[in-house]
Amino acid sequence: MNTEILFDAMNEISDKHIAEVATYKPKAKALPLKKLIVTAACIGVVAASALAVMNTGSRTKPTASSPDSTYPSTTAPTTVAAIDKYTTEISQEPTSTTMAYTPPVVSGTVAGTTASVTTTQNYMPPGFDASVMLEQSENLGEFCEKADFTAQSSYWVSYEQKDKEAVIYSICVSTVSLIDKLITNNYDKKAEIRQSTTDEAIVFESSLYDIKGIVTTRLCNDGYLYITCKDVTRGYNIGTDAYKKFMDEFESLSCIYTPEHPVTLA
Amino acid sequence: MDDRQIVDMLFKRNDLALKEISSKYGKLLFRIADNILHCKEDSGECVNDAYLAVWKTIPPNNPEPFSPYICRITRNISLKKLRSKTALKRSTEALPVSELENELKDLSFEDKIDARALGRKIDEFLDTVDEESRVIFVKRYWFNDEIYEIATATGLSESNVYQKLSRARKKLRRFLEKEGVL
Repeated sequence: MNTEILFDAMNEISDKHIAEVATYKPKAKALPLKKLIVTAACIGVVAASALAVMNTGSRTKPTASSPDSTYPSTTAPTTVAAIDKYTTEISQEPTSTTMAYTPPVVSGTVAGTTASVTTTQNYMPPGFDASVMLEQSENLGEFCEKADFTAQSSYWVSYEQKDKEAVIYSICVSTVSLIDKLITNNYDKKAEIRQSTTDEAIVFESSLYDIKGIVTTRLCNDGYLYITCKDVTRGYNIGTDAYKKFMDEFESLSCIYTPEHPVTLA
Repeated sequence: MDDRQIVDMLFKRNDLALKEISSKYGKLLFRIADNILHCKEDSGECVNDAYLAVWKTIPPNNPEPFSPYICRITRNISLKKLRSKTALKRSTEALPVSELENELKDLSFEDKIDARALGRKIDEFLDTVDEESRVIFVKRYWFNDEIYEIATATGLSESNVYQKLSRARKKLRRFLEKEGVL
């Protein structure tokens, strides 16, 4: 494959597609009424968020002397069967609109050297297929409405596999950004996501709210890349209208993880 | 003046048609040329050559629609100029279309399909994506527009444009694989 061939190939783009560029009109901005609706949604989110943080935000890790059976495991499942079981357990959580502390499990198939993908979370309907959702991520808003769930967490992960190591070089986290946007009610301002890394995880913290996401990954021999996101998603009931409205914007927020901390093959 | 009237004037050999073309499409054509050549003098020459080509080819040609016709002529003349100027085999390396090559670089289909057939497949692929993604794709890889220009035209952020392009390239790859081209 070379550029010359591609450049010549582009000459075959039909007139209708070239003419379409000239007549294309960007999507109209939201009407004030819709902003009002979103503002109302924000108030709900703030209340729900505050409640969630009060309930769980300061929770500490259990120790041998003070065990806590409800505290989530920090270890990602390493087999397909295990992750299925794990996901099933999560789907049985109560469908509260505030939060359940069980962390969502995110998994993705490996395809080639730049695969991707992910996501399941607490409030997905039974039988929901995360991989299908990811395939259709460009129309996520529409898809969410069909699936009739109200909050969504999406992660796009890229990595390179080098021998027995997978080097994560970028990860896009959307939910925290979305929540920040809703809370600030400032559509033009990009929320800052502070990011730090440890040897085993990527940590995201919202600049505007006390929300922390810890992402751990594991590439396993069964060809799956397992990603565990802990305490990132709390199932805010933002409503599909608000969700759709922000979809385009928060997709563009990304955090780049430089390949300093390779994830070792399990 | 609409495009139909311009074409009619060309059929009547009325050279005012060229003034109309210049006034209506001059900036666009210059941008197409300059995105390829990055040289204002050469780009101006190419646009003038395009006007001349239009004058010579209409009639007998009767393009409908007219705008892609003149854009295509300008693009081809500019590419020819670029190739003759650089006299390098891979003179288009610096153009945005090289991003597509990066997506497909590990694939080799020269033996299976020629550039025209590949182009027709890409055109088919464009019918499968939404309008916004299609416009961004064509702006980037046909018009060779800069990201910030696309962002301005579409009302999206630059990073959003990058992401949409990245997804479109991946989708294109899957489409070509599914179609058996790769």
